Amino acid sequence: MTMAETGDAPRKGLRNGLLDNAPFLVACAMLTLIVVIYGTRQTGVFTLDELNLNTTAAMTLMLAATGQTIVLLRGGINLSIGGMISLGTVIVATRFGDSAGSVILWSGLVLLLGIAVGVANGLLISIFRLQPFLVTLATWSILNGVAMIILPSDGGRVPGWWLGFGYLQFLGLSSTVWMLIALLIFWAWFMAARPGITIKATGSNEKSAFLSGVSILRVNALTYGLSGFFAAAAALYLTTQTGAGSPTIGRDYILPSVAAAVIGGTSLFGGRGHLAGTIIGAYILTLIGNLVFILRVSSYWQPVASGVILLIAVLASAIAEKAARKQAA
Amino acid sequence: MRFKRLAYGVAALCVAVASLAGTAQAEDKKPYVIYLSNNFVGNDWRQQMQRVAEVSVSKGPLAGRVDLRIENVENAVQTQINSLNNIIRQKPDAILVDAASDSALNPTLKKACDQGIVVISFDQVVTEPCAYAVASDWNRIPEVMAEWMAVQLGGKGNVIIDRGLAGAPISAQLQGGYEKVLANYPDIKIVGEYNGDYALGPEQSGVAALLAANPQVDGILTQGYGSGAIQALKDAGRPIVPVVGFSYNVAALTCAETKDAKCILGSNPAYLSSEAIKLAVEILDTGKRPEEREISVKGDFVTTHPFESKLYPGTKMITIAIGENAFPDQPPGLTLPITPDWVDISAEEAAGTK
Repeated sequence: MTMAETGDAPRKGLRNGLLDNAPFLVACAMLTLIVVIYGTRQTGVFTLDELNLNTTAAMTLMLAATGQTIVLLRGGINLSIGGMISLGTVIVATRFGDSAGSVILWSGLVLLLGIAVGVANGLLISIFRLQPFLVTLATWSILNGVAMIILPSDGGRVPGWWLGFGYLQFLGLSSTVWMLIALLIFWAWFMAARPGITIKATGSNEKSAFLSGVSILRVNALTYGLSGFFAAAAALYLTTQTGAGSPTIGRDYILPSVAAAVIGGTSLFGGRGHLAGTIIGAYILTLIGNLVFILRVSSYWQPVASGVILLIAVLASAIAEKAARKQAA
Repeated sequence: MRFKRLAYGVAALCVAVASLAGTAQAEDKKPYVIYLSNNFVGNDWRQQMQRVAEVSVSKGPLAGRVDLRIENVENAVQTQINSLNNIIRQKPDAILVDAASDSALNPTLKKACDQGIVVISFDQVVTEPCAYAVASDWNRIPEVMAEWMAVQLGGKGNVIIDRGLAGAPISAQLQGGYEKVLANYPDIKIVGEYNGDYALGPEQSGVAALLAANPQVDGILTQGYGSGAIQALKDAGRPIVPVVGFSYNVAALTCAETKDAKCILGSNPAYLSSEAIKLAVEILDTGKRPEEREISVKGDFVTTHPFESKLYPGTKMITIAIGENAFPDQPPGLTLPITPDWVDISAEEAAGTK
């Protein structure tokens, strides 16, 4: 109901721009607050090492949340990210040999599988006009089951050198920080290019996008295909951290991937949001854990704090949308 | 002569000073900082495990020796990895871990080992070679109990077996252990199997269904409480046949309070945590590391009818005695036995009711 208004917001003044970005700015403020509190308790918070460490800890969530953000922008949701991550890790842990050739081959295949499953999601949703929630719930279950069949419980192995990936450094920055930079550059390019614009426009208002000649089928295939690609990338990266496959590990990323995007200002109704916000959301969710640890309060405060932050983000989002609607009216 | 005496005196003094210094040093030493990283608290066992960990560093030989810090995380691998990374940055003396995954924490734990931190996994152990693995002997438990059953039946009769929880590795191991031993007795027949799911309800209904289908059942090997099986026998008006189960308070009480009941209850003691702490302190004190990475804790069996195991000679049995090792005023989910022999933990302390 609010999609049209927010998406087609007319000429913006500074006030409008601020309002439109309110959720993102709130996320920035929350992250700053967390870092400041953390900085007073932990030494060396404002160093590259700290950045490297936390990016390495948050990278799986960041990749999964990137896949989620794309779909949310389109106005959908992708639960199958969880299944793809589980399946990806078990394929890695059961198929990777010690040679670089086998690692490259199977990494490529995992990424291709991610794209294929994503495209299948997109096609099912468009051809049969199904709810993304239900379709991806089903594919999540299927992928999860296949992962269980391949590897019934945690295990398998990866070559030793694969494990060091997150701790490699170049110019003082870890490989994960470089990945993050590459991710943001890709995103800036992608969202300025035609496919990105189309995805966002379709998320804002599917009908008008369709009327202006956009193929909904192609948009969905692209959106969910990319989402699957990032889920597969998250799986590959996760195995550099765990050194093992796990047929259940993916479910730990489904809701956090949505939460990271929403905290960063991405709307669940499509058309609004960007990756920078999602990355900040992922940092917030990860740093909350560090903060709870360093303050030496019970670790159960972590989900409580995450929930409160999510609420604040949703409130900021709602206020921004209301204001935008008023403006449009 | 005089010189000799003086020399003796000096020597004695030296020894005295040295030993004094030794004890003074031991007492002055800062307590070891030991973190316990636990991935799940959703059952009685884990909560008891944490309580006995805390009690066992507050009294007995470890009193004042350990600064124990417990970190609970949600049951997710990534959260435990992040939490462990935070723990490692504190440079503790030792990390104990009840793991969310037997393999996915390995790289993180290896990092801790490389920094000289003593790493001990317990209960849900890990495969990382640098980490110790303190756990119950899951081969011994089912095999001793199946042997007991065979002895009770005189090597002849019909039994039913609990498959546990579908897909859980521990369930297959327990069932396999039962079957392996029973296979040595050609006159013992397995006439039915059910999934007890480690809960009272499914155990009772699973047994009830099999009782209805089999007019002659002479023994029941559960993987759960055993008390559900006894209730099913009572409800069906059947004789109370020998029952195998695990050593929860409710199981021991039911066995003790039911006329003619014969039970043996295997134990995965909640004080595995205390044993892991003790091992860590020993390694830190002496610098000596055990040769074997895997260390099995042998929790005593709790039974109404003790016997001498031939498969595992020397296996200890505790005869159930209400008030002494089974506690009517304590929660049903309390795991027995309560305390290892090197410290005295009470049932109230273990249950958190004090």
